[in-house]
Amino acid sequence: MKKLFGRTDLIIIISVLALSLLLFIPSLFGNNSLVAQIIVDGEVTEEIDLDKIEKSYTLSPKDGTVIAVEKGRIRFSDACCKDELCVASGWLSAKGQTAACLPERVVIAVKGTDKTDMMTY
Amino acid sequence: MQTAESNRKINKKSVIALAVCAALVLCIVLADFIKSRSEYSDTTIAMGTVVSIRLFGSDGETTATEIENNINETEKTLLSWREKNSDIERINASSGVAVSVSTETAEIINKALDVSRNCEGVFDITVGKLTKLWDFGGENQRVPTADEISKALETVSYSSVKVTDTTVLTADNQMLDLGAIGKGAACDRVKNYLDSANTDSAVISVGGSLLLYGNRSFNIGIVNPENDKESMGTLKLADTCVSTSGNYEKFFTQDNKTYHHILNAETGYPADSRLSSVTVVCESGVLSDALSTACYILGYHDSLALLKRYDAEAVFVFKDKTVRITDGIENKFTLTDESFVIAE
Repeated sequence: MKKLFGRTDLIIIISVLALSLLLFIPSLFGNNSLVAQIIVDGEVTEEIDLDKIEKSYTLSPKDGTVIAVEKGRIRFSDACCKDELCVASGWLSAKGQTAACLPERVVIAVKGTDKTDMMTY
Repeated sequence: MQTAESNRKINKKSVIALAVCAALVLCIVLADFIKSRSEYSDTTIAMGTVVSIRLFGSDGETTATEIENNINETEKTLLSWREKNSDIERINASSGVAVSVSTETAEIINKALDVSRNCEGVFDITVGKLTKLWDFGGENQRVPTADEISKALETVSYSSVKVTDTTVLTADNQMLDLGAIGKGAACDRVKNYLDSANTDSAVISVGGSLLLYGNRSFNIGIVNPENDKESMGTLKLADTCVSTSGNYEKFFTQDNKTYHHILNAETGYPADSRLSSVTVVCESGVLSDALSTACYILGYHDSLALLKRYDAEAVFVFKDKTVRITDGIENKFTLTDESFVIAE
């Protein structure tokens, strides 16, 4: 009785399936890197992979607004408004967390969702 | 001869095998592509607050832009007392005189007045003079004098507001402030818009007031009153609105005493409550906003009848970290922070 597939066929099939599985695995488990978006006036001006930060630094997406970036976390560190609620928000270090400087229309949003789809507050 | 035929068969089989593999890979890649194309997320600032949008369906980017426009329109043309020529600004500028407004504004005011009637006026949209005095979150936030408060309270009376079709008449010197229900009103407007868009499901947060659109179930985190970046519990819900009122959102400290922003319209002072927060689940955004404020002021026991009247459900978080959930959503709630305890 003849085999359905020869040795070469099996090698090809297994190789292609293994490759497609490798390509598919990341989308099965989602992207686990911690990426922060800086949004100014409704536009994403910068995306920062917080896991890849080697040296802490600050950036100023708008005059008077200062954002501190460290490995695995990000925050507003200075603002020109009186109440500085954005600074009081502290560090963001988990998916789905946001902080906003409303007067300057600057938002920091850590991309993705963790346990929840949205928060009510 | 036989070898040549056998080779042809092998080649044919190889082609079939390759074709099957290629089809499989294509399906996987296509499924992933469709998934990524059908979900769209956006975060922006609208209506003076953070707006987060997650859409499931096609035309995500266009739909998100329209949602932002709808939210901004709600503020600018309808509800903000600060926006020149908005319906509320015109009503306030002509107190004592009937003012013609949009159908939408008239409906929102009617809903708010109905809640006021059913909670003995602890929630009241005629608190404009009072909220202006306290100025929570503003540059002049302070504890007003007792005289100032009693003078402002003279203008607080929901029963003085008369709505006839699309005409609104307030009492002389009265000032409306729909700040407590503006975000919920925006959710309702977005819901109407989404009915005509190519969106299957969506979850939209307008400063923490949520619209859950479509049949998809979402895990909604209720903010931990002691840490506003973490949740204390989750609710699994679909096709509804969710609003939370809490003492942690806007407050200031004067003379070592902390004053939060939820004012009892009867006393003129921040509500003296055993609660940290109340989360209300209801089909309308205006109602869920109004009810969460009213329930926070009323407290747990007095809130139950009010919630029942509007077919609404709620999660009450007490200052001592006990949690009470109404029957209709008890099985949809999961505690995620073990330092809180569900009351028996």
